[in-house]
Amino acid sequence: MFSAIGTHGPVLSPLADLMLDILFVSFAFVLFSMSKPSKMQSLMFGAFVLVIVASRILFQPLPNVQPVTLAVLLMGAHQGAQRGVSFAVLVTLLSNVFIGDGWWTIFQALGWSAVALLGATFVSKTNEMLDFKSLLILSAVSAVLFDVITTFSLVDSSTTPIDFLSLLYSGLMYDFFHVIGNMSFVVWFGHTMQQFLLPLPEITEDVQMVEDVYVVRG
Amino acid sequence: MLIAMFFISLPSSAIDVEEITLDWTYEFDHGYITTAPVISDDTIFVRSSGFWSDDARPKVVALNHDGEVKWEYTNNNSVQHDMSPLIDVQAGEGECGSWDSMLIVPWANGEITAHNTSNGDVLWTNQSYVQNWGVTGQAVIQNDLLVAPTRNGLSVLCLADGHTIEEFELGLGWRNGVAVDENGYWIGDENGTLWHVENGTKESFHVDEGLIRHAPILTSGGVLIHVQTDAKSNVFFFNTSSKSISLLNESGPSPGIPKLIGDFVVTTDSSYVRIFNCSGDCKQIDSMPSHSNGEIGVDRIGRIWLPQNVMEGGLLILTLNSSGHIEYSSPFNTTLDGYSTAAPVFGDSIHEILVMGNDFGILQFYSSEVFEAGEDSDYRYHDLLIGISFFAFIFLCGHFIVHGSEIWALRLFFTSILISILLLSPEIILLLEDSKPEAFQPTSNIEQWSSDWPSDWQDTQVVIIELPNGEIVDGGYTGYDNVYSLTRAMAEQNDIDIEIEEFHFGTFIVSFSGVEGNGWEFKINGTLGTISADQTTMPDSGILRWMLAS
Repeated sequence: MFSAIGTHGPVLSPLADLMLDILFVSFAFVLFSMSKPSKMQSLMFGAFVLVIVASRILFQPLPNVQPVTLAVLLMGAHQGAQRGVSFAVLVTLLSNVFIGDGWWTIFQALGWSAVALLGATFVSKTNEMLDFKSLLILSAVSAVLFDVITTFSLVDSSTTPIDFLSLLYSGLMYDFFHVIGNMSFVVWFGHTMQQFLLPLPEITEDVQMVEDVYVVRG
Repeated sequence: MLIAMFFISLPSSAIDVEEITLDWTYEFDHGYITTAPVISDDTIFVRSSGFWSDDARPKVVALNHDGEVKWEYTNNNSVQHDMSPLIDVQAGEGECGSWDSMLIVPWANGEITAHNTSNGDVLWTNQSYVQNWGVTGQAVIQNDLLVAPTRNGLSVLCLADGHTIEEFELGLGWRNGVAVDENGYWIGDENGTLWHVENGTKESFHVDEGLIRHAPILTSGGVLIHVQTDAKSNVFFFNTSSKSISLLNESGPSPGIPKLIGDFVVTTDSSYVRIFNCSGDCKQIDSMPSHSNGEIGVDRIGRIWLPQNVMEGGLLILTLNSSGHIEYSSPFNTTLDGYSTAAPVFGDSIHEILVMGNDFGILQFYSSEVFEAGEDSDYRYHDLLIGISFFAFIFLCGHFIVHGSEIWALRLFFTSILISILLLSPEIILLLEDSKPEAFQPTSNIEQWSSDWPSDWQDTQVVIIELPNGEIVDGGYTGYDNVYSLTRAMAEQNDIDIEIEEFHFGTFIVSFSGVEGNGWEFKINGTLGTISADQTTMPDSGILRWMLAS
């Protein structure tokens, strides 16, 4: 996946690419399995990954309008840091297969992982929906956090702090796209996504299993 | 609704001329069409040309917009290439008399005939000098006079009755049109000499060992000449103040007829189309591969149409930006393509038509709704949609707030903001770039002058392209004011194929020599470019480096 990385990163052989891909995907699966998901949760997780990958590809023509950011934020907030980071890595790798892969994939995965951690840190894992205002603010902060982290992909040994500031300045407009895009996703899909991601299925399934046992024995 | 409006109102990067429809064709039995048809109100005039070895002879045909022949006139005495453009003359009067509207037809047998535009009747005939052939170049109307390039010079005729007022014997010419300005007449010849006739006095300036086969292009500072030589051509600038001649460019073989468009001159040949900025002394500012050896058409919204004189034919359409650089190019093909040198002509805003002929002697008449929604009106349409979107936004927000649906008001608000900034993004990005604070100006400059480079590259523009099999470096370029034009000039010089992608916010390089990677990015003096290549200013001297995007 990381073969075409040009002059701003290490040139990897196809074997090294493959190893890195395997490493990232394994990392994502290990993290996800550490969260002890049920079958239903795994299925829902997989389906959500595919939906968000598809939506990223769909919105790709619009500059820096990223549906992934809100999804990752809510995944971290409602499903926890492990599933959030796992989700971020998988969505980044899979969508970049279609959009374009390179050195930046690592930074995008890092950026969205940071957003997932932000969601998990600022929001306790509860069954309650985030209030609208908080979600709007968090989505805006997430956009800036992600953009700053991905700007590091442009840094090389010759880049000075001033150069980095210059790069950030040049990206201001794209940050603004990202912020407004995120807020738009919040008002359109925030409620639906939260309903989908609230950790209810796990409890429902456990309770159902217990009920089944009693019904059988009774 | 707003989203739909957004997608509809996005300015298109290419004008979709493929939507035009072929209404009819007219085919000459013999010969070629080598000069542009003329559209005059409801009539189209076109002439044929060719070698005439049997009874067939060249003729002029008048057709209506339905393709029906109104009249035709055959010149039984013309035996050579009849490629002098037709001239539509409106009724008028002057010192030498008055005249009705007429069509002037210069012939290869030296005749110049004036025809009644309604029925083709010959109003007058003038016979000019013949040596194997007669008139083959572009004649010009000057008030009540017709200034015609003859085989051995030029003739000045009275439009009212065609009598010769004065004649000047100059060099022998072929397709050497005449140009007229307040200082007299300019014409070239087959010896590479530029002639100037002023108040009856002749002056000559030897330009080059070659053939001048077009009307000299008169610019604000002088005269541009494209000279045909063996297997190539040379573009010269004649400074009328200092009377000095300078070589602007060497170019490909078989030059076409250059065209002045505002301050810019377009030249063509079998290798390139070149754009020269002639606001002062002419200098080349852009070029691209093209095989065009004849006339150049310009439509009413400024698009340049170059007939491609190759077997597969077609036309190349170009648009120039305000600084004269090529900002858009696209081929235009039809089912009747073939060798072609005659420029297409276009209707006015009432008659949205395209008419063109080719070497098969086929005249094609196209009409299109798309032409009505041309590039200039695209933007009016675009502005109108933004306006409608704004009022719809205000109305719907108000409606939702009044009816207590805050979520819908918010949805509308954020979506509208998103659409607005996306639509305005090119302007905002450029504005941000222009107003970048001093403190944020990059300080690093990793591009070091290489001791391997020729010393005459110092203080010029140097381009480096990092291809997988090594760097290609070339320098000594001057005067390219943006990254894209410099890159294209360098690529052309080094036979590097470039593939580009154009968006409404700029032009981006997709590949060099077929190498795509994840796209290409550039650095100027070590600083990474942040906007498109055509929008990025290139300093007068500096190092431009292209590398595969990371």
